[in-house]
Amino acid sequence: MTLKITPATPSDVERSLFLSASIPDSSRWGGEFDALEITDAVVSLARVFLTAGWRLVTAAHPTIAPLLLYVAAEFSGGGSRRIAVYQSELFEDVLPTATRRFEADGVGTVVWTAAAAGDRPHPDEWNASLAIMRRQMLAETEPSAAVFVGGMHGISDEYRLFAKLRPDRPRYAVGRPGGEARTLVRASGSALDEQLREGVVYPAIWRAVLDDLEATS
Amino acid sequence: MPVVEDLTRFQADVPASLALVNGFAWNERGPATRLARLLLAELGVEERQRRIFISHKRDDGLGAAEQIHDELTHKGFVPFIDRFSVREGSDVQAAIADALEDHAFLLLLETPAAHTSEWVFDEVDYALSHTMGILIVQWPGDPPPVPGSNDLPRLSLAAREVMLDAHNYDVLTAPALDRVVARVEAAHAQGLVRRRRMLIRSIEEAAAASGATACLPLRDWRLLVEHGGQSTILGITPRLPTAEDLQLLDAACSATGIDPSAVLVHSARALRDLRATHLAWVAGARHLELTPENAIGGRWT
Repeated sequence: MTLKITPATPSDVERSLFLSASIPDSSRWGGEFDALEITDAVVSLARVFLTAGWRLVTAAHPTIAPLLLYVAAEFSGGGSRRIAVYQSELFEDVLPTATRRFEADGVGTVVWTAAAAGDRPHPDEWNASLAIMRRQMLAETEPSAAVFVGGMHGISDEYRLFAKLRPDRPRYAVGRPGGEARTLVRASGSALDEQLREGVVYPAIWRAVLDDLEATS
Repeated sequence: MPVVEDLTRFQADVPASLALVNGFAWNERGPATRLARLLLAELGVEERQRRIFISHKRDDGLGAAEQIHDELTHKGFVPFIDRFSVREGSDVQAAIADALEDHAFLLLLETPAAHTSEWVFDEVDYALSHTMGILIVQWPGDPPPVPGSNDLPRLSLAAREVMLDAHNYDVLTAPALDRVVARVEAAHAQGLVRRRRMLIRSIEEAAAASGATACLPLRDWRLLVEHGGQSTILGITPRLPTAEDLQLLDAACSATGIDPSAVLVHSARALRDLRATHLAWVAGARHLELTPENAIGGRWT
């Protein structure tokens, strides 16, 4: 008899996962990071959670958001609810034009939020607009959990905001890809936290996170 | 592998028992690197066929693409230059995937016009979403980045490294060509290891989580798994599965002497009916199964 590996059946319960991820700009952030480890971690997360029937919520990042939409396009069912990308009107051209195709095809949804008066699309001149976008994103989607990968100081801002708005929901950060997320990895000493800190097999890490979420739901 | 300085003296220099074996000539450029690559391929650590997809914008990248194609071929790679022509209304993503799924590495030539290509964005995102190795060669003058590739690592060319050929196309100088190919060698090997490491270790951890009582690493990126009282060899392929993959997996099963079943885990987005039917015919009555990577975390029975 041959071993059979059957894909897990997606859950009927609709749940959202907030993904805070970006590739640091080395001209503005001097810490260690590996861009391809960050994209590997994000792609693996998308595959594991979309396979399980979750919805992903994220802020627009010029590399990360298109990647999530591209992966989501490979999954049938779920329609436009699979991915929700929030973007401030301050950054009209952050998302590649080609990603509009995914929205037109019903793969994901792009939600535009208002720009703050006086803000400009330059570092340190966009903070109020980003704050509006982040609050609206978390309030509207009510994510069941949050994951943090790579990133610069904005990752920590989103970590603190999530903790404030959703204090009873778990937060997971991975260390190996580097970026600001490495500083957010918990130090509880649990096996999962050790895996989040040092693990390099991202599909296995996200399966463990999914198991943790299933166990605590 | 017999290594000689002069292949014309091969028969005279090697023992008779090795006379029918292909020899390696320790001459020309970079003999140590070439020999190391051949040995790694023979040992199954490196691929025998190193397939590279060269992504470019025809308007200003064709000359360099063909130049690099020729040099990579000389270095033992199997490069492919994209020449897409997809009818209006066709599935763009499917067309890109069909072409890229048979390759494990994307080389993107980021010329000044590359960001305007209707294909390049999809090619980059396909490569990233399938954890393919990727190297972006950036032209001088800080050209606009290809959409979706911001902040990815790049090899930047200096102005002195690019010149015009007889047809007025940009091509690389000889030292620049050497520099690019050396980076491709390194990035391809790193990308392949990264891809296979992720896949094989994901399988190991899923096997343990599903109750496997043993998981033994074998050569050629395979695992012998004891699960539910039966033995199974799991093989992986970072590309589209082929009949050769199934044959080699079947041979590995026979070599164990314990008649295990076998599963080939592949990372194809979706197997076309024609290929799935062909592979099912190849597998025949043997205990050979194909499983997509996405299923690994599911139920093992």
